[in-house]
Amino acid sequence: MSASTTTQDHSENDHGDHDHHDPPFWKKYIFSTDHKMIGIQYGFTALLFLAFGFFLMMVMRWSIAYPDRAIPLLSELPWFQIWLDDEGRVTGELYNMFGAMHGTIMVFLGIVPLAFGAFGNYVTPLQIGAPDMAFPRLNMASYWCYFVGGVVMLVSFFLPSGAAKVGWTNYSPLATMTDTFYSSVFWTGQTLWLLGMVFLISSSLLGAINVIATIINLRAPGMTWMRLPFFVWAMLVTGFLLVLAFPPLEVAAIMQLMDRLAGTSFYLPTGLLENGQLMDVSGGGNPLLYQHLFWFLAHPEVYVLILPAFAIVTEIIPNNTRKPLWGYKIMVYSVMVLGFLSFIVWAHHMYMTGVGLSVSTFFQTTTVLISIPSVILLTSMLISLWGGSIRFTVPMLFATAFIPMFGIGGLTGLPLAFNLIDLHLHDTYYVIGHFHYVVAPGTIFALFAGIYYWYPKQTGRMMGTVLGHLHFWPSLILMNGIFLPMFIQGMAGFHRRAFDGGKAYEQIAQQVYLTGDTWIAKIFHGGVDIQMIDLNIVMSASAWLLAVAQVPFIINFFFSIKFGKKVDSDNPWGATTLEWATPTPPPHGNFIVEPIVYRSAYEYSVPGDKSDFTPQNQPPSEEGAEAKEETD
Amino acid sequence: MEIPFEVKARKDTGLWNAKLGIWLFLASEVMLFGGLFSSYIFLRLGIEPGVDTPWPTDVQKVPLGFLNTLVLIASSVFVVFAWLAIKEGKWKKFQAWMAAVLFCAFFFLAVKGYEYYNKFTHYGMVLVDHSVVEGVVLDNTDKIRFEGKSVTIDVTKGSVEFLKWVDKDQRLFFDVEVDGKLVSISNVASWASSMRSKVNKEIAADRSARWAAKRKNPDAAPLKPKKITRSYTLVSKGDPFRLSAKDSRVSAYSDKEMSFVDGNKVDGKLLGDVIKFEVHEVDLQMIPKAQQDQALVWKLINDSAVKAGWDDARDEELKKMEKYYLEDRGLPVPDKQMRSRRVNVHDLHAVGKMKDGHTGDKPGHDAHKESKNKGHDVGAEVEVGEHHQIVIEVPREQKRFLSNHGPAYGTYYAIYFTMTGLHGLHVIGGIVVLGYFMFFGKALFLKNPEHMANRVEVAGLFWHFVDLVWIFLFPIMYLF
Amino acid sequence: MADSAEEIAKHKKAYWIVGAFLFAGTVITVAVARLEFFDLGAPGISAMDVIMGLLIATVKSTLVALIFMHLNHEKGLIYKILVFTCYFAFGMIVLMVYSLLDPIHAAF
Ligand code: HEM
Ligand SMILES: [Cu+2]
Repeated sequence: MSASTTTQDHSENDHGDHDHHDPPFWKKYIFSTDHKMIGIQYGFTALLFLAFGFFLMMVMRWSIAYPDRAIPLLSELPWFQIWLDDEGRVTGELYNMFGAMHGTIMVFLGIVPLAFGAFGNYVTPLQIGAPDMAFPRLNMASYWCYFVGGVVMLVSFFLPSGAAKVGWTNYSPLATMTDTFYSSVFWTGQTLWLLGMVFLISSSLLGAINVIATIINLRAPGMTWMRLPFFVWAMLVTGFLLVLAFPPLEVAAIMQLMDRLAGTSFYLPTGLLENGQLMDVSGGGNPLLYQHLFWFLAHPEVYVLILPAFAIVTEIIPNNTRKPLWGYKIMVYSVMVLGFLSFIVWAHHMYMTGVGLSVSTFFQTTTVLISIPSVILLTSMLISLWGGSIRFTVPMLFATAFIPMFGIGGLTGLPLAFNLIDLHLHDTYYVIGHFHYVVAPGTIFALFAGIYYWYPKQTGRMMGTVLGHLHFWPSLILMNGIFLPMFIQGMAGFHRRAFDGGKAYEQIAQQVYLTGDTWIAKIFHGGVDIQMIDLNIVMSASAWLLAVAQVPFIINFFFSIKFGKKVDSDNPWGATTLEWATPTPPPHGNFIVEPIVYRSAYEYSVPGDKSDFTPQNQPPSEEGAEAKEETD
Repeated sequence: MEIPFEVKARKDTGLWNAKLGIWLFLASEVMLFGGLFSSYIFLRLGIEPGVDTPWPTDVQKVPLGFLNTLVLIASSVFVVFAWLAIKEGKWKKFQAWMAAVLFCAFFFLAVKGYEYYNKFTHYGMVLVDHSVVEGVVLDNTDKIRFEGKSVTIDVTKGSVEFLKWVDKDQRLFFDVEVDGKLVSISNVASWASSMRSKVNKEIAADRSARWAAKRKNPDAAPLKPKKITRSYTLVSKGDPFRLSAKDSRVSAYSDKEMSFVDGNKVDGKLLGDVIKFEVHEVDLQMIPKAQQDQALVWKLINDSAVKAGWDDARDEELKKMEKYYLEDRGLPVPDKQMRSRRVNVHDLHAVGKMKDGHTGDKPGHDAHKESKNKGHDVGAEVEVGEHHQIVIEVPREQKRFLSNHGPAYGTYYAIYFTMTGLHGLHVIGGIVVLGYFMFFGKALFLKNPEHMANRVEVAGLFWHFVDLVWIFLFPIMYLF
Repeated sequence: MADSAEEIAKHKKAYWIVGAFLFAGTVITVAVARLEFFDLGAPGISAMDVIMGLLIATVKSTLVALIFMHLNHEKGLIYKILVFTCYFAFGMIVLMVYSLLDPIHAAF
C-alpha cells in the first residue's frame, strides 16, 4: 500500500515538536498567519463579493431588458428608491454606478482575490512542500488590506453621492469632475473608489511579493524548477505581473486623487469646459496619461485573471485523464513569454484615442504575437485530453468546459487586436462578450473546478456529484445564453454602456435579427420576426437563471462540510503533487515530515508502475516507498 | 513551526527570505517611481506651445536642493557604516551611525518643509489675456466676500457647501419654517442630514402609495404626486453672516445672491470681489512679443517705469540668444528655442522694486523676500516707491486662474509635489524603521546578531533606494 | 559578503570613496545646469545639459546600487528580477512617450 492511500493520523502526539496549544479563536480564525486560513478567508470574502457583483449585474440586466418597467422587489424598498425614477425604473445614474462597481468588484475584489489570494495562498506552499509562506505576517496584512479596501468600496454605496459611476476603467476627466459639487469631495463614491483601490493595490503587492519569495526560496529539497507543478509556475508569473504592473495604477490613482482633492490638473487639459464654463484649474494635463497608466496595469491584469485559471485547469486535467500534462516545458516557456509580452500590448485598448499609425502598428503586432503563447497553452491542454481515459468528475467537467469557453474568448480577442476592425467594435457589446467569455465561463469555471477539486483537502469530505452536475450543466448553457448574443449585438453596433439596452437607438435596435421565414423562427417563435433588441431579454433571462443555477453549488458547499462523502485517504483523487501528501486538513506547518521530491509533477500511468500515479515525493525504488511509509 | 531560510541564505538562490522580499519590493518601487517619471516626461513633453503654460525651470532654490542631495548621500554612506558596525558586533557604534542617519533624515525633511511652506505662501495669477503675475494675495481677497441673510438648501442632497466658507469667528443661528412651524437651528449640517432622510422617506412613502393604488386599480387615473417641500430657506436670526468663498465652489453670484456648486443659495449682499495682489514678478511668455506692450497686466500696474524695466530685462535676454545664434554661429534663432527661452521666468519677469525705472540685477526671489517683509498698507491706487510694492486690484472677471504655488498651480507643481511628497513619505517610513532598530533592536541583537544584521541590511537597502530616487529627482525638479 | 575584519576595513575605504564620488557628481550636475561656463549647448538649459545631467545621475545611482546595495556581490537571481523590472519600466516610459509624439493627425 502506498503512503498516499491511507489517511495520515494527525493526532497530537504525532506532531512531535509542533505547538500543542490551540491558539485562541481570534488568532486561529481571524488574525491568522497560517497561509491556509488566510487562503480560506480570502476565498470566503471573495465569494461574497462575487455574489454581490452578480447582484449588481442582475439589476443592470433588468434595466437593459425592460428599460421602461419598474424594477421588481427593489422598487419596494424605500431607502433604495432615491436611485429610481418616479416610476420605479432604473435611472441612468444607478445603472452607471452599478456598472462601474460591478466591474470593479468582480475584477479587483472577486476574481483576483479568489484566484490569486485564495488558491495562490492555499495551494502554492503545499505544492512546493513549504511549511508556510515566506512572510506569514505580511500575508495577514495583505488580507486585511484587501478587507479594508473592500469595506471602503462598500461604504461608498451609502454616501449621498452613491458609489463610483465612471466605469471600472474610471477614465479622467469624467472621473475627476463627477460628483465634485458635494460639499465634501472626499466623501463621494468617486474619491473613495480611488482610496479603496490604493488599499487593494497594496494588498496585491504584499501578496504577490510573498508568493514569489515563497516559490523562489521555500521549495522543498529536490523541487527543482522543472519539477514545479504548472500551477506554481502560473502563480509565479502572475505574482510578477502583479508586482510590476500594479504600481503604475497606484500612481494613476494617486494622481487622480490629487486631481479631485488638491485641484491639480494631471488629467485635465487646458481650456476644459464644465457646463459651458471654463474650469477653474490650471490645465496643461493630459487625459491620455491616465489611460496609459491604467492600461499598463490593466492589460497585465487580464492575465492575472486568466493565468490562475490555467493553473487550476492544468492540475485537474492530468489528474483526470490519468496521463501526464502534454508539453509541460513548452507551457512553462509560453507562460513566461506571455507574462513578458503582456506588458507591451496595452495600447490596444486605446486605438480610438488617436494613437498614431506607427504606434498602433506596434501594438497591433505585439497583440497578435501574444495570442501565440495563449494558443500554445490552450492547445497543450487540449492535447492532454487526447487518448486519456477521462474521469468526468465534477472538477473535470468544469475544467473541460473551460477549454472551449476560453477558446471563444481568446479567438474573439484577435479581431479586436487589429486597429481597423477595433475602430468599429470598440466600446460595443462585442468587447463585453470577448472578455466575459474569458473571465466568466473561463476563469470562473476554473475557479469552481478548483473549489470542487481542493475541497476535500481542507474538509476531508467530497462535494456531492449530483448537485455538482446540477450546478455545471445549467451554468454552462446559461453562460453561453448570456454572452453569445453579445457578439451579434456588438457587431451591429450596440454601445456597451447604454443603460436602456439600446432602446434609444431605434434604428439599430430594431434591425431584424431573425426573420420569421427561417425554420428556427417557425419552430421557436411562431414565425415572428426577432429584432436585435429582443436579444436583450434572452441575455437577461439567462443571467437571472444563472443566479438560480448557483443554488446547488451553495447548498453543496455548505452541506458537504457535514454530510459529504468522507474521503478514504489523504489523496482522494490519486494525484501526484505534494499538497496531497499532507494530512487532511493540513496542520499549521503543513507537512509532518519534510517532503523530498524525486520526480516531476505529472507522473501518471508510468509504464511498469503498480498504481497509475506516482507522487512527487515517492522515492525512486519500490523499497523506498515502503521505507517512507514506515517513517510516517 | 519555523520558516526555513529566515536568517541563513538558501544555497541555490544565495538569498535569505527578507532579502529576496525587499528586492521584490524594490522592484515594485522601481515601477512606482517609473510610473511617476514617465508621467513627468509625458506631461512635460505634452505641453503644447502657445496653449499650455510652459514648463517652469527655475522656480526652485537650487542651493536647498543641492544641500538636501548631499545630506541624503551622506546618510546613505552612514547607513552602510551602521550595518558594518553591527556586522562587527558593535552595538554602540551601530547606534552612533544610526543617529547620524536619522539626523540627516530629519534635516532633509526640515528643508523640504521649509520649501513647501514657501511655495504655499506664494501666489500666481493668470489674467484673461494670459499675462501672469506672481506675488502675494492681500487680505484674503482671492475669495468672494459676501454677507448673507438667509440661505436656501435642497435637503434631498443634504449637502451644505456654504457652511465651509462662512467666516469662522461667528456663531450661526437660523430660523426655518418646517411644516408650518418655525424651528431654530444652530447646527446646520446635522439638521440638513436629518432632513435629508426625513424628506427622502416622505418621497418614498408617497411613491409607494401611488404605486399601490395603481396596482389595485390599474385603469383609474394615476394619483398625482404629493407636493413635498425639498428646499428650505434658513433665515439668520442674529446679524447677517459673512462668507468668503473660493470662486471655483461658487456657481453664480450677483450683488444680491450667491449660489454654490451644490445648489446652496445665499441671499444678502456682495461685499467685494476685487482681488488685491502684491506683484513680485510679471511673466508674459504666453503672449507674443508684439502684443506684450498691450498686455492687460500693464493696464493694471499702470506704471511706465516698471514696464520699461521689464522690457529691458526681456530685450537683454533676447540679445543673448541672438548673440549665441546669429552672431557667433550665423544661425537663425530657432523659433522653438525662442519660445523655450521665454519659458525661463528668471530671465523675463520684472521685479517689484524699480524705484528708478531700472531692472534690478537680482530678479526673482530676493526681491520677493524684501517686499514681503514690508507690511501690507494698501492704497486704492498702485503704489510704487517708498515701500517698493506694486499692488494691483484685479476685477474678478479679468482673472483666469489664481492659486498659490501648491500642486494646483500647474502640472509642474503637481508632479513636483506628488513625487517629492511620495519620496518624503518613503523618508518618513525609513525613519520609523531605522529608528525602531536603533532604539529597540538590542534584544534581537543579543539573541541573534546575524538576524539583526540582516534586518539592518534590508532597511539599509530600502534607504539606499530612497537616496537613489532623489538622485534623479534633484536634477529633474530643481535644475532642468 | 564581507565578514572578516580586514575585508571590512577594505570595504570601508571603498564606501568613503564612493560617497566622495557621489558628492562630486552632484557638484558637476549643478555646474552643468547652472554655470554658463559649463553650458554645452545653447545658453541656459538645453537638451545637452539635460542629457549630461541625467547621465551623471545614472552613473551615481548605478554606484549606489552596485556598491552600497552590494549588487556586485549578489547572485544572478536578483539581476534577473531587476533586469525584467527595468525592461518594463523602460518600456513603459518609451512607449508612452512614443505614442505621445505620434498623434494620429501627424499621419495625414
Ligand atoms: C488571446 C488574446 C487576446 C487578445 C488578442 C485580446 C485583445 C483585446 C483587445 C484588442 C481589446 C480591446 C477592445 C476594445 O476596447 O476595443 C480587449 C479587451 C479586453 N480584453 Fe482581451 N484579448 C485577449 C485575451 C484576453 C484575456 C485572456 C483576457 C482575460 C480576462 C482579456 C480581457 C479583456 C478585457 C477585460 C477587455 C476589456 C476592457 C474594457 O474595455 O473594459 N482578454 N482584448
Ligand atoms: Cu488588453
